[in-house]
Amino acid sequence: MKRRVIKRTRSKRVSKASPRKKVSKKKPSLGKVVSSPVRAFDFPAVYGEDRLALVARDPWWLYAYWEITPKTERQAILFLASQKASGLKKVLRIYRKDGPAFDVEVGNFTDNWYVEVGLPDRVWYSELGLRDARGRFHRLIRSNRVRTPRYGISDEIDPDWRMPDVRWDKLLEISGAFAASKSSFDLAKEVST
Amino acid sequence: MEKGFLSILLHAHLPYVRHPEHERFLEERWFYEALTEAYIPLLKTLEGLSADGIDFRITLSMTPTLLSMMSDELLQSRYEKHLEQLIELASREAERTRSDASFGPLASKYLEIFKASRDFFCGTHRRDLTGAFKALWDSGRLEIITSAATHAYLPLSEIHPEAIRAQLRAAVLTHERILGRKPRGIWLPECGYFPGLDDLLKEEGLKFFVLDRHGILFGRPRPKYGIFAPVVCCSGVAAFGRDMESSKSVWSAEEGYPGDPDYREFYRDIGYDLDREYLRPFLNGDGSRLNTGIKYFRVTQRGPHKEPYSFERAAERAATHAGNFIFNRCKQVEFLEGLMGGQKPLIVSPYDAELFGHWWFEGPQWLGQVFRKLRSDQSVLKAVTLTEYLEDHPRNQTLEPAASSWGYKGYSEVWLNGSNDWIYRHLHKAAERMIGSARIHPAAEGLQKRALNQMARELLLLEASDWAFIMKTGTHTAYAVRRTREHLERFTKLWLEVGKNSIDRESLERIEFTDNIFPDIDYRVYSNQTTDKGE
Repeated sequence: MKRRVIKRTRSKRVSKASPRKKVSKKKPSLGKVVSSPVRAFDFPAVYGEDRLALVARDPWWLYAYWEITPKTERQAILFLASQKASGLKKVLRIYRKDGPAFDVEVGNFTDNWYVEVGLPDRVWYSELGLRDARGRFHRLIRSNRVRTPRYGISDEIDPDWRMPDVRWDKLLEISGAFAASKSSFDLAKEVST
Repeated sequence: MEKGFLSILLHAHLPYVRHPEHERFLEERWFYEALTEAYIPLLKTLEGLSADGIDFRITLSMTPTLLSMMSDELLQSRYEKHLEQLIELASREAERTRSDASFGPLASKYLEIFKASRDFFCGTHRRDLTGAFKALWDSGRLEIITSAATHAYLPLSEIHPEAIRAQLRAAVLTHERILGRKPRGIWLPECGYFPGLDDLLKEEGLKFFVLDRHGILFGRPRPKYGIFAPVVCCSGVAAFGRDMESSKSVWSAEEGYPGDPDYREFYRDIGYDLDREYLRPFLNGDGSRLNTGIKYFRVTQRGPHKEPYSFERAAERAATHAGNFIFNRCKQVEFLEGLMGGQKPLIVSPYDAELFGHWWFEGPQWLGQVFRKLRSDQSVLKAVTLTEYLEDHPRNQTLEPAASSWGYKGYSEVWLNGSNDWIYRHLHKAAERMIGSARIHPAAEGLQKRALNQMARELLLLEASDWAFIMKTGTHTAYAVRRTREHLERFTKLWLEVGKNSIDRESLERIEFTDNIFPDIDYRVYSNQTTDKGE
């Protein structure tokens, strides 16, 4: 299964230092009283913790967001340096229960990613970590598990609730399972002809 | 003898837009407009049917946020003022257009409608619209079900079952407090479902919910009757599937009834058509234009040219479309009954309640006509509420529905995309902090208990799916971001204070005054532990 990833730009949410404002050379008017602005609450840029969360967006895509504290990252880098690891890359390793894992290089400038896993109805979890040039992976944090939604008609049939195939196909069609449904008028016509 | 069943379900929801801190607030108008254009006309329609002895059946989901606003004294009083303003504007319009043969009668009709709304709200029901809905529920013709407390999109909270439980518990409590009875069923916000959610519904005593078609059709094992009979989850909670064919005839912009040339044009409001100075007393404080609810034109055709609206012609079309709807549903059940080997099909047709009256002005008339014609014009179709159907048909196939929603593409993308995904780390963190605080303080008292309960209110309000939805649509983004920020700020402040056991009483009282929803909430709902279903 071919997998693709969409690279995300850094979230708007992540606070950045305000761009430096040009300093006006005009002297401030002494006649006006200017109240100092009250600093409004802003969304925290970090919570000061190691966290990796995974949610299923649909049968084929997962969404991951994370936060790694500088301390955790520094410790990992120091340890890897002691192991003579080089060419470190930050990767999201996606594990499938009973299946192979794969890596997504996420770099250092984002904290979230959409990952195309391409497989409905599977259990997934992931690890964010550092991978060196020799392919060794050092885990920083592990995520929760998540199941992608099931997609498609089940092959499993309850013998007590069996419908002849021809009828079931029509029922499916009128239900509009996969595309714009036909009306019962259209189907009635098809059946009668 | 009928050959099948029809269950019309209206989903009534508005986010909690109560702003006591301001005398006039733009987003509060969403509520007032919905009352005038959707909920009062709906009540009038249903009461009219009852008065005429029409044995109608409708299932109505009312979200706890909407119920709370309807029963809030401040908003009731403000709505009365809003109606007075509307009447004043309509009076001026009647005067302005007095000699105009096309628009004069229309303006007079609006004046009559608004006065009738005031009489209905202030006189007949003494501001108590939830009481009016309750009376209809008591009559057995209307069934009222609930939704998540603040319409949170539950699949994206799967990581914290405690947060979902709190959404459900607060919903059931609010329903019972305001309507006098526990709900039997729930409209899952946006039909958002994941396997295992039904276990949480069962815990709260809920018996059924509704899914989009693929939630049922992709169920395991295969559903014998497709979406035309409910299924039962292993938990014992039933799931109904949404019928697309009947939905499309009302929803679709292209093929749906609301686009008929004789129906009222939504986008030609005098708030945008008339001189700003003339309108100024009725506009926002900043003078920006808005929908007043007075609209003089009909859809006419595509393009800018519009003809004056005619109430009479539109009413005739609504009756014709109701007949067409019944005719098509009869054909549908006759065909399905044959296909299903004699099993009588159930057609579940859910719609947003605000479609009827607000977006589709003639919608309430159409609805009334549907039930009048159902009684008089045919015997193929029988209208039922969802509970009624389950009581009469207790044997249904057991299966596990598939995770799904009725949003664009059928899953979570509307509420999880580049415009709104950034909120989830905050929502999840707040839920985690709430759960932690509830566990640390299993028996808080006094000020600390009040602070923990207020934290729960702020978290619930923070979780409303409306904020993510608005960010996606980009229409009132600043407001949605502001609400997300405000609830997170209040939550975080209280969380810090609870942690230090140092509650600022004055500040807590201010927050309690501002976000006064869910008075009976008990923060300990967050301390129930459950196993991680993903493991």
